[in-house]
Amino acid sequence: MQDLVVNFHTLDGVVHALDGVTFDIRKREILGLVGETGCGKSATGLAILKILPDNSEIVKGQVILEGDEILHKAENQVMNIRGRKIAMIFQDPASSLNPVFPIGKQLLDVLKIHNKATDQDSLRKLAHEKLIMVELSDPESVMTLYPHELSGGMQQRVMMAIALSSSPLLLIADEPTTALDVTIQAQLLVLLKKLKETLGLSVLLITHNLGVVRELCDRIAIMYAGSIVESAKTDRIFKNPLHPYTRGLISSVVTGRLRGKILDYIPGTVPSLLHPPPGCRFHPRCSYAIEACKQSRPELLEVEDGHYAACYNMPKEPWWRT
Amino acid sequence: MNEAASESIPVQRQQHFRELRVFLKLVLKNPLSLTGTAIIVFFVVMAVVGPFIAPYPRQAEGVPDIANQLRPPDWEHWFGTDELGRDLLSRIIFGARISLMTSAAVVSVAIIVGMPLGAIAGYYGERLGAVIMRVTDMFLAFPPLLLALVVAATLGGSLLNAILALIITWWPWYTRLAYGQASATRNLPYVDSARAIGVGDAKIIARHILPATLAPILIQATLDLGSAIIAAAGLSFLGLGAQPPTPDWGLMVNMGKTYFLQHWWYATFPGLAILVLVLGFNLLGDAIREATDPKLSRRRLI
Amino acid sequence: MVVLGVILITFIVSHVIPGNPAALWVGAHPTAQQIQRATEELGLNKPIYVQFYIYLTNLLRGDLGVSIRTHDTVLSDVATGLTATLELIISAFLIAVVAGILVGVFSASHRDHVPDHAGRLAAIFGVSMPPFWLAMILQIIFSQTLHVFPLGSRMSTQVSIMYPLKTITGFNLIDSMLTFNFVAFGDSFWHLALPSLALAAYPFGLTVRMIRTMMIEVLQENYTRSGLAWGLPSRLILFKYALKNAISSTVIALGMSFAYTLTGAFLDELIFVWPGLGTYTALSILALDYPAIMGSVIVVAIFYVIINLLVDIFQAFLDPRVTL
Repeated sequence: MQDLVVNFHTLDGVVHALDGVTFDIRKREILGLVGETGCGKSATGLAILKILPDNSEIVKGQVILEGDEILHKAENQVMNIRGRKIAMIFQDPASSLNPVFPIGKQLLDVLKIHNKATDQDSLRKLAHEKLIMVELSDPESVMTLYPHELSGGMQQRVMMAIALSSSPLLLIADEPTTALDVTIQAQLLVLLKKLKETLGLSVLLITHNLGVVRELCDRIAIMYAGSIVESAKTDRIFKNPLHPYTRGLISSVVTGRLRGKILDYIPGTVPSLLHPPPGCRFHPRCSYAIEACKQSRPELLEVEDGHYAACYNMPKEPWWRT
Repeated sequence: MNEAASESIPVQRQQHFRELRVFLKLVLKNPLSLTGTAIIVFFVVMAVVGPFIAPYPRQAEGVPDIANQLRPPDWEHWFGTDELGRDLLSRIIFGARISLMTSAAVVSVAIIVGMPLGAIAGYYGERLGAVIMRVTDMFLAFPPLLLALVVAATLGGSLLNAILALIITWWPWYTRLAYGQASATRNLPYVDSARAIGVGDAKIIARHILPATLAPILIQATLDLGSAIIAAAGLSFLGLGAQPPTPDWGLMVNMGKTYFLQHWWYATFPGLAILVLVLGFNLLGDAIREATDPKLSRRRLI
Repeated sequence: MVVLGVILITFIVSHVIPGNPAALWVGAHPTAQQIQRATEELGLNKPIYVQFYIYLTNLLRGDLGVSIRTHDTVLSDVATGLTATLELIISAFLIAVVAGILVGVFSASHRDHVPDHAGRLAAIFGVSMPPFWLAMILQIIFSQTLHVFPLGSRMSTQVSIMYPLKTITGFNLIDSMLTFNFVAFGDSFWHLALPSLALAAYPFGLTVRMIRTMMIEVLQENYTRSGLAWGLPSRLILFKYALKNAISSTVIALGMSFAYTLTGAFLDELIFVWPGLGTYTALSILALDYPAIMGSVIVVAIFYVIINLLVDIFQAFLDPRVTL
């Protein structure tokens, strides 16, 4: 994705949701898109598949998939990509599955669309395979059940089965485990990792949970108020966070070493995107802000090998927290 | 929408103003609701000013002009004349007042009767509430016009009786609406705190429960004003409402029925008037409903 | 329970009448003696609560009394009228619902654009139309001027004489098919057209409005978004997935509007001279024929209750989350 700018037109005015988002994902890589609620990470995911709500406006930007720019494509062309080349799963599986149709029907319909020439029986077999792939035993009976008759974990597995049914190149996972128990969460993440290997899948994992990201992701992109502020390999980010926001984020997570100490936090609140602050959107809360930060938004530049940050005045002190 | 009892009044008012502004913006932006409002205003003006601008005011009140019986629309009589030679246009103009007043009377009395009943039922619940609601359900079980027909027939045909019949038919709907709202509001924390302080029941109902029931009732009322006009016209059409020579629209359609295959204008124009006025109310009511429904204002995907 | 209340109310109301039913029974120019005798026969001189009691016991035996106006049993009067009315209502309702769903879905999918406004306008027109007026206008345009459809009644006299229709179910369309009487079928259909259209206006408007509202809501749901993300074509999403969700919520209201169509049928029948329950009831009411009034009202009320039941069942069928 390059320099994506998206606005939302609401009754209160124009919300500048995404302001020049740029990142890339490689094959067989899990990229974590991390940020607080409201920073625009979900919107980014939706924009890739062009399923943003009707009051949105893609002002500019490009999304390039295997050399092909897809953002400017017409609706019927984009439909070919959805589900086939790029798939998406969402946060609340219970509300993301149609409640009045059994699982089997929903899965079969999707398979039918993507595999037009196949006959009914092969489709059924295919459906069973997909369900087994997400570790759902007894696919035959699962197919007859309705979404509300399944547990949260099973629902999300079904969603994965449907999304991955055509072996897409990229899976966008928008906070897939946030609504579930921690134990289920762990299982699903393990499953995701396994599928990455077996299917050669790339994953854009959108989340606000640093712990999950650390476990699962190969690279991380940190997002704040509509743009990427830092991106690098996972251990690089945690060993040596460059951007002040990243530092603040990581230090506000509770770890064992903090026993007896006061928990750090980032002062202030996330700005309203109706009237975002000029220049770098983080500068009102940043203790390293300089004059240049108010003037213009810093670009995402490669500071070290593979490690990008968007800041005019990165903190010089070494980072000694893990 | 449940401000704590301790919130200061100016803040509440501010919130209400803001909501009002958003609401007005939505309603006025919509061409449909604008048309609706325009129509209603037009008819109200006609009702008020009509008697002065109608071309043949005395004929409207019933003075016949036999020489001009059943003339088709022409330059002297834009809508033609009826079997007694009376100018149809003037009669329709005079009829506006009748229709508007009729529906206003029906709806307002129905609300005055139904809303407090529903509020009381909802607030007290248990025995009193159950009894009230049972009675209400009995009335609601009637297909709407049927009860009105029976009552009107029993009382004899006259405009007043028709209004009465319609009120009897209509009040249960408001009771049910109020009951629903009242039951929901009754359990809200600020009502409990008011009770704990020792505020009397009557006062609680008046100041807290009733206003909460007001919103859905008002929306319904806008639409009902239109329905009431049709219902009243229906009764008049059957001869159970206004009697001749009153220039009631439904009555005119009824009289037109006998002649209308040869003289199409007689029944067409009064009915058209009904249609347009009811259209106005429905357009406005529909737009208001869409603007105030929280579920309808989010995102759109397809 | 509710039905009992309905009976009670109707009874009370119709017995407050100032008119004299005995006089009506006897017919034109009654003498005082005849009235006296009729009063005794009809049991009208007994106190009111006794009359009510007698009525209830008769009711339980299936005896609805005798119509003062027609001198037939109310039961038979109502039976003949009921099927005629039902035929009318059902066809009107079918037209209304099918057309309503199509327009409603169409409107919802183009929300706030021109097609939506057109759809909403059509719906509001339907709802605002005085039913008797629409009926008359249709008569003028299609009967009088264009001579496409007949003016009224269920069958032309010619046809009913030359191709007499055997009454099996009371539904002309069904009966004519069952007896292979195709001429009668065509004729009945032809006669059914205008009245059904006139009656369909109101439920059409209601349906469009409801479907549109529900569709808009459903289209905002997360599962619609999922469908899109899976690459399902929007037509499939609209008509299969979203619609089923939307309909299951509207079934109740649809049921109510079906019952409401009954009242519209009254006026419609009068204009088209359709020999149904509506005409019968209206005439009874105007003549203050209270056994007939009671009978019709009771039948209608029972009808209402049955519809409600059916609606509940149907909804459970459509929406797997609803338990009976």
